[in-house]
Amino acid sequence: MSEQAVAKDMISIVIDGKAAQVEKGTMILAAARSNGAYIPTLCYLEKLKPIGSCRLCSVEIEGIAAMVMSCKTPVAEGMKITTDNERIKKYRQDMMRMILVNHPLDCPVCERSGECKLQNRTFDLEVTGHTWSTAGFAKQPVVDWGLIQYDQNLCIMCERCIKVCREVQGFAAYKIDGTGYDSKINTVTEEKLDCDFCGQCISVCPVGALSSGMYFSGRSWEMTRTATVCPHCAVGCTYVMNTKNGKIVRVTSDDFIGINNGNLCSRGRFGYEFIQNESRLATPLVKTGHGFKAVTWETAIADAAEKLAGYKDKYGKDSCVGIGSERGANEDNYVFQKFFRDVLGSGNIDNIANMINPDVCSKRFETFDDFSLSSSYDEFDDMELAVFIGADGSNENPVVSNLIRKAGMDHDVEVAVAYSREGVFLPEPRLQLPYDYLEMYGFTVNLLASAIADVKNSGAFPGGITPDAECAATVTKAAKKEKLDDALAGKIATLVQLIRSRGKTVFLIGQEAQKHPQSSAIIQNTVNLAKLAGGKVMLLREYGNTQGVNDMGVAPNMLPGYIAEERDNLKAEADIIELMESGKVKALVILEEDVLRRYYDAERFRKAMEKVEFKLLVSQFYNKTSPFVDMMLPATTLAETDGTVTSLEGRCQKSVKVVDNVGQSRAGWKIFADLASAMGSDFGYEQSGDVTSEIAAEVPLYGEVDKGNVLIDYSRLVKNSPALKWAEPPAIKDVKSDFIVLQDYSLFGLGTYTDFCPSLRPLLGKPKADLHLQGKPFVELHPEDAGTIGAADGSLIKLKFAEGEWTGQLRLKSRVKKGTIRVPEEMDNSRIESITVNGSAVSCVNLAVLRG
Amino acid sequence: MKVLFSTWKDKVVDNRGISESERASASNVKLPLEFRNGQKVSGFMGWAGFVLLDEKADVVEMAYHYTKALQKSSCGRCFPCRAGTKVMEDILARIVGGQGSQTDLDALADLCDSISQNSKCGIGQMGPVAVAHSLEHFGDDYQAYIEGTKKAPGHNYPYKMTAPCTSACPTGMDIPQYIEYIKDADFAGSLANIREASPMASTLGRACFHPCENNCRRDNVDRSLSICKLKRAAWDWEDQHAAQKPINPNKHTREEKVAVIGGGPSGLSCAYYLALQGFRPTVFEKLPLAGGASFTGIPQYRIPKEIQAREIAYLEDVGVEIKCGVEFGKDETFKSLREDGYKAFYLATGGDLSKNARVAGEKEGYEGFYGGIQILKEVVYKTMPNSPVKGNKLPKPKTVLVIGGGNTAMDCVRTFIRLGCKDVSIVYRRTEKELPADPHEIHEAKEEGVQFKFLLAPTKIVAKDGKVTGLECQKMELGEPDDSGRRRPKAIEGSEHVIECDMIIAAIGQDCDIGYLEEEPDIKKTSWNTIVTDDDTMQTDIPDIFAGGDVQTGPLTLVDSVGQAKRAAQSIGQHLRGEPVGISDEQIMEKVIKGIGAYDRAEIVAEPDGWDRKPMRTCGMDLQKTSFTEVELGYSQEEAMEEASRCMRCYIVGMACVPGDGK
Repeated sequence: MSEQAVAKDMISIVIDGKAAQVEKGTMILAAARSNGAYIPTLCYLEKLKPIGSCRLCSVEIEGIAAMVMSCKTPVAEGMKITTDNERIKKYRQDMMRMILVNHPLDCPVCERSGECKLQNRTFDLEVTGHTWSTAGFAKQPVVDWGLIQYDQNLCIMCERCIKVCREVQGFAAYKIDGTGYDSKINTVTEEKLDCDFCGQCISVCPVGALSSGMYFSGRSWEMTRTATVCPHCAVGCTYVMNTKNGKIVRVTSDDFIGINNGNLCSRGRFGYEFIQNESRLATPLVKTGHGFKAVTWETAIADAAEKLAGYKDKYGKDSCVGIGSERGANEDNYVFQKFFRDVLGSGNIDNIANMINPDVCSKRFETFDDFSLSSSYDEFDDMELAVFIGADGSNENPVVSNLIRKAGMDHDVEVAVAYSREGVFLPEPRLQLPYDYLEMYGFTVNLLASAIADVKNSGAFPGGITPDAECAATVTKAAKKEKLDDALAGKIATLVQLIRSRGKTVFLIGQEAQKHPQSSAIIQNTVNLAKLAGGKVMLLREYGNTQGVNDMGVAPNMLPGYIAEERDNLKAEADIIELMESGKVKALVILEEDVLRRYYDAERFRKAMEKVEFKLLVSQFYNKTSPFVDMMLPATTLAETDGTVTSLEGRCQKSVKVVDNVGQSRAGWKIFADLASAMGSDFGYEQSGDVTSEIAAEVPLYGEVDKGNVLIDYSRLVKNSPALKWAEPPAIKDVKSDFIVLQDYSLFGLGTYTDFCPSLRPLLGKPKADLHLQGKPFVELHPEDAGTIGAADGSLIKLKFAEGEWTGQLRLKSRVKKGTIRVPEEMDNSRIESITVNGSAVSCVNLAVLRG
Repeated sequence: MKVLFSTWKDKVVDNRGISESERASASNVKLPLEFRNGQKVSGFMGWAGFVLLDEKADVVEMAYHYTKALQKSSCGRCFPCRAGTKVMEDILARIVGGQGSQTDLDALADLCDSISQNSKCGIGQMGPVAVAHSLEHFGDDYQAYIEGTKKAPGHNYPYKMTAPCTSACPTGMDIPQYIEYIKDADFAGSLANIREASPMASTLGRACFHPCENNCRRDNVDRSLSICKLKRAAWDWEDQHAAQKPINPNKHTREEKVAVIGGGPSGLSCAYYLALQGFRPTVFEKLPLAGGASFTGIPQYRIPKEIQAREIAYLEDVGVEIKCGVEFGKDETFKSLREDGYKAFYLATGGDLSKNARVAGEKEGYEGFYGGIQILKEVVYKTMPNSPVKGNKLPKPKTVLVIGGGNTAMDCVRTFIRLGCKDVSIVYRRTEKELPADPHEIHEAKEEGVQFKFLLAPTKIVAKDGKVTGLECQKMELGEPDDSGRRRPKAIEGSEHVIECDMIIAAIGQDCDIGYLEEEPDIKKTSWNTIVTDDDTMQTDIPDIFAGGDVQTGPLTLVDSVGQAKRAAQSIGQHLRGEPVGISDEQIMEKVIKGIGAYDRAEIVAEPDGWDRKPMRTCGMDLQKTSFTEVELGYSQEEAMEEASRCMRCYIVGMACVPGDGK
């Protein structure tokens, strides 16, 4: 202890007569709390910079005449601090009396009652009655900002909302409007709130001033709270489900549980309605000539088992194929693959992420050789530069950006964003490097070449390696072939200097890079750059268990834990779609996926499905794939079952059962165990924990997983080589068109779940949404492009899909790269067949064509 | 001054009932007797008490209006000031309205104490003190109001919210506010706030002599805030991040053209504020690049010229036209510009002539003898990237002597160290203690290897074949203090000797060149060749001609010239819109507060000490001695935010009592 104390620059102080040693720079409040003194606070929040508005944390310091606010005053050598006495208490009571001037006594009808910090402090400090009053203002109406509402009458102006929005969310939507007692919280624009709707402001509001209209459904003390993992994306946030009488009534967050520091995005905080949505599939359904018909589980399982067994016997191992789930639990996926491999004798299973790009999924550890690829959020602790490569970080995995901003508040972090458009990270990053989508590989190889040249000129980066001459020459040559415009080249040079001047760099690779036709070369360039820079690489992931489904071996030729399939008879000879197209496949089993919505060439998949006799979909909802299947089995969501999911950083966390199963739905693992049982194999599971234990026993990578939350250690899988590795990119299909259609991730929707969250839907730029808080659905275009095709801001744009048309408005944004049309994520560009603007056709190409 | 009553800084002077001639003075406060044009000032209430000059002043009404001003000025960001002063205001309104009670008086005293003990900034901490004083000393008056025997006289109460730092800044910059923005991680907001007082956050943030820091109350606690460098942090943030710069919503919304003569800090600033008002200012600059003395007179290692160019380019974005290489008086005249449609002039031609050093031989044109600002200009053009000026190589002297002890002299010596000269000295008549240059600059010069020759007065330049070979100097000793308090140096007879050198730079000040005024003989000039204007409005005797900056003040500081520019822009705007040219009540109050002194070095500030000032990282001595790399690297965001957190937000409100007509 004492050695450490010296190293950390400790100083001596006296708190309430007791001597204490604390680290220099510590605020008095933290020093007092860590030494057992209680100081009341109201505006203070550990995750924010000190605010200092409530003045309750006042202390006396010997020799100082006035009260000192302990939250924002650092300790100094020899300081003698008194944290409580009659004078201090009197002043603290006075502060409360001033806050309570005109505060409405609406506690019986305030939703925050029972968890209100103002109530608690009033009680602690024994403040009874209104001592002072003022004419004040007349009761103001509640301001409705959609998902967020503001009640000025209840607001105590503590500023937590303003602070959290700026420091944690980077958005800075709020300000103090006015001065003196008339001041209030308002949006910066003084217009309707148009923000990320993360609800961080609601979660930090100590009173009932900020709330969501969704919540008014129970008193705080009536709610049962269960902390579990958010199922929407792969960040792995912990959130707290609040239920009343078995119904989910809201989601809250806790700053001290999980990796997310109490932060959630709009999907996490408001996107819970899908779980108990009335559209959930409640019974097994079998397709008849007149649509789907409900049947009993016994009938459905017997029917499906008989069909699958029949195909297996008659047509052999390639007759059954399966697609696992990026949202299902590890247990569901584990039993799914076990059912295929052990019962059906088929290794023809896959997952959509792996179907799109196996190099970043099942083949990740073969393709890329550097351990820097598996980074945890702990890397942010000493990171000085975050570089997003092909990532819309704030929208794909929103809370990762929160963690980066938080790191930036704790120490100095700069951010650079390379993406196919500008303006996807707030606050304004140090550098934005918008590239043309088609030149993304050229961008990364030039970035690498520029770094290599810099190493040659100025020596290795701190902590980085020096490339061998041959590889350097190859990269340099390759870079010369990829001409970039001067502006981007200049920014590359700036980024290289930034990497050199900063400490640790973490590169975050997003979906645009992972799904690009030249993805592997793009990522390898980035890995090489990380090696040069002595940095780390983190692969962002799209869905809640994209990592887990691959870890669980739901991929061809790869058993759970990335162990190569040794059994020749279970090796896949072709990918699933090719097998389906060949006519060999008789049965297709899909676990909780909407393939026709997510796979980039949906039309090809749909045609391939026509060749399959029996198509079984295990799902929570009737989705876009549903019309083409023969049987649907209702599955539970993560909220109705215990299980584990693995986040993008490789953290395997327990997801906890919160509510009863909706209808007759069953957990995925149970369904496949039932099927196995019907086919004569008893897996012997009583509950999901049995599956978890089996995973721990059978999959070395997941050896500790039954013991609680664990960070999976992938290092055993990686060949850790310091040398740069050259990856030749495949040629990109030569396309001639005016525009490329690119999707933008939306904060308010991802996949099927949010389709069934009515409160979020109005926020989406979605064709089917009939309410639009954020204006009409829109398609974005660069203003100069609009000029060349004779369109203007607000022009009507028509998108034709295989299944119909959609008409929306054009929005001109200079932050969109020229040559691209941006559609919302939900609009699935692969299904767009043609685009017309003001009645005339625009030639465009979508990603399916580029990949095909 | 003679007062009726004063509690200023807790020193009570009570002359109630004493005839005017026999009244005791309050020595610690100075107030103007007139507000404007014959309006008498009857009293003042502020951060350190109140002062009554005559019987017209009514303390209770003053306390009410002062509390109202506090409440209006309160930022709303701490509970006691936000809600507490509102409760006080309501109580005082009741009392003044004849509805008060004894309970109200007790509550008022209680509130004054609680608010001043617990508030976040000076408004709440210091404001209620004056009200408490009034309760203590004028209880009878309060009683009279409560009993209904006294009625409010209804005087006028102009007030101004400021801060010691703000009050010391010639631009009146809202320093606590821009620092608070940085503390709140809102660098863009901070810069927007700075731009309300000056468009030159980068230049000022790098080279201002920061009177604010000498008037910072934190200095009474431990050490003043790094106010100057935080300004730079705000500008650097915008420069370095992909941030959208603010656009001028009024750009060219009016037709009037204004000619700004001189593209230095004053001219550019004035043009900026004219553009913000919608006018069309054109800056005429003699040199090939705009920036004036801050450009050519401050070396690359203090303000990199590429950065300065970006700062100036933004002015063009908001609507300022800049024409370089145009010499006023020669290429253009008042007449030609008036014919061209220019409706007003702002003369900001600065002082770009080196003052005579009064050394024999300085007029001979010897090779190796330079004026300070002339040589600095040559070096700046030579060392900046993408210089528009091609030409002769820089001299490479072996031994350089620089005459003078100001910042220009320091810039000269530090420049020649960087040019590789090993033997560089300052020659100064007095001792180190009297050096007028910024102590930081002196320290850096020493670190870089500059020698200082004190108590030496140059008398003659020694030359051979037209080239400088030495400087004859006389030894000095310090005698009695002169008017400025500095001890006057006295020559020691017979101590003349020659110091060998091949370059001499005279850096003892500048003079103004205002030859162009021959065209307008009605404009008054001073004997120091500066232009005479109204001190408030910067207007000359010719209504459409205004002047400011060094050409008006005589060579002074960057920030002074910027401050005048903003006032000039206000006056020019008034003139062009056909409004009376003058300053507002608030601006008068600003002057009143300056006169009283917003900062008191002797004040004991109730704040714990020991929060170290954040030092700024530098490029390192190796680079400092050999290159023109910018010495100071700037604050990181985190460093800037921590330094900003040291600010105590010493806002104060000063209010005068001006009895209305006929009352």
